[in-house]
Formats: sequence, C-alpha cells, structure tokens
Amino acid sequence: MFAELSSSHNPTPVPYRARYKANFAGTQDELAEVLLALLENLDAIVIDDEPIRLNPSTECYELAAVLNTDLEFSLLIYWPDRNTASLEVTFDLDSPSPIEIAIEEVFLNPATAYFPDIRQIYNFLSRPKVTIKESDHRTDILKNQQWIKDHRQEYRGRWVALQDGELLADAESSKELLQKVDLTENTLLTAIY
Amino acid sequence: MLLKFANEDIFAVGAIKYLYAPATAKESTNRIIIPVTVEPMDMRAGKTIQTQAVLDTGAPYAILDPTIAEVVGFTPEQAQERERMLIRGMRLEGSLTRLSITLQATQGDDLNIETTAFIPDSLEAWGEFPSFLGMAGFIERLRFAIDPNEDKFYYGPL
Repeated sequence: MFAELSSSHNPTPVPYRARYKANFAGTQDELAEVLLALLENLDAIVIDDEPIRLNPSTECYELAAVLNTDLEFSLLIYWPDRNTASLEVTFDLDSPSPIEIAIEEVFLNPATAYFPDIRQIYNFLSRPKVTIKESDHRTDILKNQQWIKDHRQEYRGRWVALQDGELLADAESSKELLQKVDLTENTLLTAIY
Repeated sequence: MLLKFANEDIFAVGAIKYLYAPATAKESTNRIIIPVTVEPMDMRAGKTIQTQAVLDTGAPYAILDPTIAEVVGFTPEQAQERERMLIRGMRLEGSLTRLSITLQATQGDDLNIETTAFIPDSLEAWGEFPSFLGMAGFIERLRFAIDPNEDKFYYGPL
C-alpha cells in the first residue's frame, strides 16, 4: 500500500529525499478529493491526456504531473479497502518548492487535512528556514569560550558543563555529565579537544 | 549589518567568535568550532541547550551529537527518515529530523536556522565526535565569511 512520488529529471543530488508512510484517515472518495485539490495546485497534468486514471483491477489512482519543464513526478496510491489508505512518498527533486506549495495548499488546509502527520512531513520537506533575530549579545558565550581556551589542555578529552565562564561539572562522557548537572538554557555542554 | 556588497546590499547580519581547535582528541588539525543554541523539539520534553559544532563543508546536514539530541527532546519515534551515513570512515545508522539551531551573535543579529539534521542512533558508535554544521541543508543556506585574524564567522541569510 503505497504512493510513490519521484522525479525523473534530477540533475544533481539534493538532500530533499524522503520516504514516508502515513495512515490516511478519510475514505477513498475523500482521498480522491485531496488528490484533485493537489492536482489543481500543479502547473500542468499529463497522463494519457487524463489527469486521474482509476485502475479498477488494483484499486489505485495513478497520477503523473509535470510541474514545469524540468520537474516531473508521479504518484501512486493503493487502498487495502475502501475505508483506509496509506501513503508512502519518495521525493528526489531538484527543487522542492513547487511540492512544498502544493502540500501547504492542499494538506494544511483544514478542509482537506486528512493526513494527521502531514505537518511533520511538510516540515521535513521544507527548505531550511533562516530567520534574523535581534541579538542580546550574550557575554556568557565569550566567557565560556575564554574558559575553554584557558583550560583546554587540562580538560582535553572530557565533557564539560559551563555557565557564564564557570565550570559546573566535568565528566568522561556526555551521558555521565548529564547526570551531574541541572541544565538551564544558559548551560554550555561540550567536549573539549 | 556587518558586511555589505559593493552595491550596499547586506552580506552578513551578524558575526560570532569561533574557537580554532581540533575536533577530536585524535586530531591535530584545527577546525572552526562555533557555539550554537539548539532549541527544544518539544517544549514539554526538551530543553534549550548551548553546545559547540564544527563547521564542516564536507559534511551533509547538521549532525547532532546523540546526547545533545536527547536533551532537546529527540526520541527515535520522531524520526522523519532513516538514513545510513558514512561519517569519518564509519557507516552510522541514524534519524533525520527537523531542528532549530541559532547562531548567537557576538556582533550584529542572531540567525535562526530551521533545518534537517542527522542524529546518529548510537552514542557509543558516535564516540568522541562533536556535532557538525554540514554544507547540504545548513551552510549552503547562508552567506558566510571567515576572518582568521579575528577568529570570526560572519553570516547572513541568502
């Protein structure tokens, strides 16, 4: 029971490769609605001149879509019975952005959000999000770095917990160190080399 | 803003002081080691943690030490993909998941990067390796410059 989404034009390997399996909470008809909505978000659909083809013998919809001139994917979904469906997707795309848009538009819309885990899937597929934030220019970072510089030879090979330039604890391993300190968001946990 | 292009467009919005030291006890070559803050994956189960990560343009993804991952609340059930990666001669099984990592500026603005990270399964197999900030999915999303004279890593969004 799977659906497969893959690119046939992938000039360079990219990190947007993933395989998912998610239980579909709706019925076959509801899934068909989701797929139709997905198709509406794509630039063009090509499969024997038909956007959706139902194969009665295997109870599957087979979709092939051309998003643009250099990106193509196909999607297969099979149902074990009329009330459940599962989805497994493989992405290997040069640029995931059209897919992200389609997923956001279709699956995150409450009216069509049949996949409970789709937000997690969407989050994984998304490009890294880079956000500028105003800094409070924490002085403890520099103090901790200075401590490491000053004590590097002494603690080389050990894990240390530092706070505001002070040593809270040290240990042979990170696991052991965690048992020794109460972590706060100002605690630096690192190995010294 | 700290660095600009000739046309006055912003290149770097912030800078962070880095350590220049070996990445493991067995190494003698110095690496650029950057302080980072890793945000909790789940506010109920995880904690914000400060740690250090090696800037590695040869590594894919951000790679997080399993212990640090545990602190921010990662559990293998949260894996969004399983992956086997060749890291420094070892084939390691692990999980891919979405993480929020902040570069905390010593000058200028902070930069938060929500990215896909690899978390090795086994702390024992991971051994003494530190966390890494890899090229694919992390560094490639930033503009960056390095000033070896001041040990400063300049960064900005693309």
